[in-house]
Amino acid sequence: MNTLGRPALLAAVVLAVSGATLAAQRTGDPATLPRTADGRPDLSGIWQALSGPEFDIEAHGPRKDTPPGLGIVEGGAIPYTPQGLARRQRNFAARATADPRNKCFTLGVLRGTYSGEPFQIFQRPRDLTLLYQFGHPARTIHTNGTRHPDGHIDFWLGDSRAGWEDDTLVVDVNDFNGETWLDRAGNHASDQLHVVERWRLLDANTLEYRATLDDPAVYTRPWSLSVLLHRRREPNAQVLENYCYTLDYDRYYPVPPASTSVAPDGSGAEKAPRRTAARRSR
Amino acid sequence: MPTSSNATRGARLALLGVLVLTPALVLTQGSAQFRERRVVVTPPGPWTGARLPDGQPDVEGFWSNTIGNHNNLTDPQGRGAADDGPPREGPARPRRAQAGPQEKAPSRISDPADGEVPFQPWARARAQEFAAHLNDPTRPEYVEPFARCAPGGPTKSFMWHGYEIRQYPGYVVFLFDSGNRVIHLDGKPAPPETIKEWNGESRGRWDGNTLVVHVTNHNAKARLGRSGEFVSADAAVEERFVFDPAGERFTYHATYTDPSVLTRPFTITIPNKRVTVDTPVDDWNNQTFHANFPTPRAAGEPPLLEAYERICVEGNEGHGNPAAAPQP
Amino acid sequence: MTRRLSRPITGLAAGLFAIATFGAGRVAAHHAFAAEFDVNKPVTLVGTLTKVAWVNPHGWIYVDVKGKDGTVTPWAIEFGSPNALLRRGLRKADFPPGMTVTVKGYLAKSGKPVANASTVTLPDGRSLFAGSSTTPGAQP
Repeated sequence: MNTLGRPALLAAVVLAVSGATLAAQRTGDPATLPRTADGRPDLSGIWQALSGPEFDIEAHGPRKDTPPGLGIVEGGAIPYTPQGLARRQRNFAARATADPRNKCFTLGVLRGTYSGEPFQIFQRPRDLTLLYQFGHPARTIHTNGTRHPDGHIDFWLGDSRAGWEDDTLVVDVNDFNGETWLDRAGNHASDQLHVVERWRLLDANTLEYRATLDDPAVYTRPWSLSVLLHRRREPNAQVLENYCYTLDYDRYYPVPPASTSVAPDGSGAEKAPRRTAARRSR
Repeated sequence: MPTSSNATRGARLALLGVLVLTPALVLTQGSAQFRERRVVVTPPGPWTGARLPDGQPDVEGFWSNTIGNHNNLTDPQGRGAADDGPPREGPARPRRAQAGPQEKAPSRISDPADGEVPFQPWARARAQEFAAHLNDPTRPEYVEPFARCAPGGPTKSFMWHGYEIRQYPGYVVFLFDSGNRVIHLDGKPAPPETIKEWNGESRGRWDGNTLVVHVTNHNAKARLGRSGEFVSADAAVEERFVFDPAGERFTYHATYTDPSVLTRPFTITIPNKRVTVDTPVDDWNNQTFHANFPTPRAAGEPPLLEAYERICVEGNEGHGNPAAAPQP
Repeated sequence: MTRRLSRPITGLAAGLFAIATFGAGRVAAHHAFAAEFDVNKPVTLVGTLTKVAWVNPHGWIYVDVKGKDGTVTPWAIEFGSPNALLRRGLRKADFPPGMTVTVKGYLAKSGKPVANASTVTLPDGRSLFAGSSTTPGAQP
């Protein structure tokens, strides 16, 4: 399918589905939403989903490694092709070792949103920057009228081009590499994935995230998921570094300890000084 | 799946033929034009340039250091212990005149004046040990962490490829090839020191044309170069990003204080220049491309620069050996 | 799609497709070359491309190489930066599996069928190299 046709199809699907969904969600009073100087809802801040979807985005009962959950897939089940379903079953069976999260590979735009670790949105007129705590990668959502680069590119975080429809940020994402999972249960997509996201503040502290996924290699039709993100409001809340791919090897980089190391020539066994009072008081 | 038409594909193949030779010259010229042997130091002072709506000096955009790489902290254009790989095949390349000693780029150590890290003797030996084994990593601790995609650390991150600065109320964000740094401007306290991070935690404020940053919570694992220099995780790190109001340059200074490793504090100074649409793409300083617009831009409007996603996948497989290829 | 290039060189190009490469002599790679590869063990491989891993900072290609005795050995070959190829208008789809590739490079110190490529060329002269991270200033 040429790239011009698919967005139109997806838009039609999204519009058809979103009407019913919008009615179901309490819509915040536009007057109370935080806004940027150019009048757009200000999505800036630190956001985090509750942990359920990360385990399994479909409705599921309890497992030893998974709490039960109603799931976030609209309509209940992901409409896999037979091959897609078989791949999901294989992923599920091997999830303890095969989950790319185990190697701290980038979670991707979907799982990164509801993974249960926070991410920070930085917003300016030309783009939004999403900094995920897990792995600390930065995703750019361009809101300056630019288009996707030509041709297909394998990106971990896809390529995101967005515009505002009233107070909803509508993001078109393509250029996936097919390497990310949608959750720990092995739900997946290929490099033919195309996603349309809708980000909408329900109120100042609640951000609704809806994504419609289309992937003819894996799904029989487009389908949508929806999850709420909650603003982290603790004082001094921040995203911490989590370069988790360094955890397997950072023990090999001890900074040579002053107090115990003796140089080959026998010199230098000074004790490490205590931290100064100046550094303690901040 | 390929989306280009046959005509486009044919044109692209023809272009590939041209690309065989052309980028070699571009690399030389681009690199030579952007890089400098002379350190241009921007003096601190008032900011007279453009400001963002929140009052911060506007320094957003793409930047890169003008001298060298992180092979050798004190010899920015030297190789030190790092082997840069074999000569590549190709047409004979015109060699530029050998630089005389007076043209050699100075050490990045701007203080003390001798340009050397004021190590305690035991620490100098440990740094040299790392450098000596860089090409012979018989033990895991001799493998350069950057080779495994570990972030470069607060200072060494500025000694490699070009990077990007984005600013927001309360934040200055640096995006590097490997890793990001968030400078918090809102005065929130740093986390407890039990949390140690590759790029540390940064708290800063603007003082005229200078972004003053206090770095804490750094794990000191990234070291300061392939030449092995290091400080401990207790080191105090004070940075000053001094921006020229003309908008094209800034100088990075980082003062390291660490009585457990050093005999006195030292300062690293790294000059940086802005990458613009006129900077040749050299895959080093300038890794940008031109954004796609739906309609041709208005006459005279310059292209908009973008960067591809910055995600490093190298050491995420078989962590013990970077030369273990990721499995297909 | 426009790309920033200096004036193209024609005429000379044709005879140099097979061997032309990039980099200004020595390359400061993301990781130190000699830490992992042996400059004293050059290899030349001809085989069938089975996969391209389009990852940064170094992409990998997987090549099935048939030995004299008929056995096929899968090789993993590290090439340059896919982002550098992207900037020059190339895409992963330009290097589909099934193509024959000629690789010249250097063997991994581990002795496994892993190599670092200096050149990767296809029968029609296309190259997987569009410039790597050189070491500006490291050479005169």
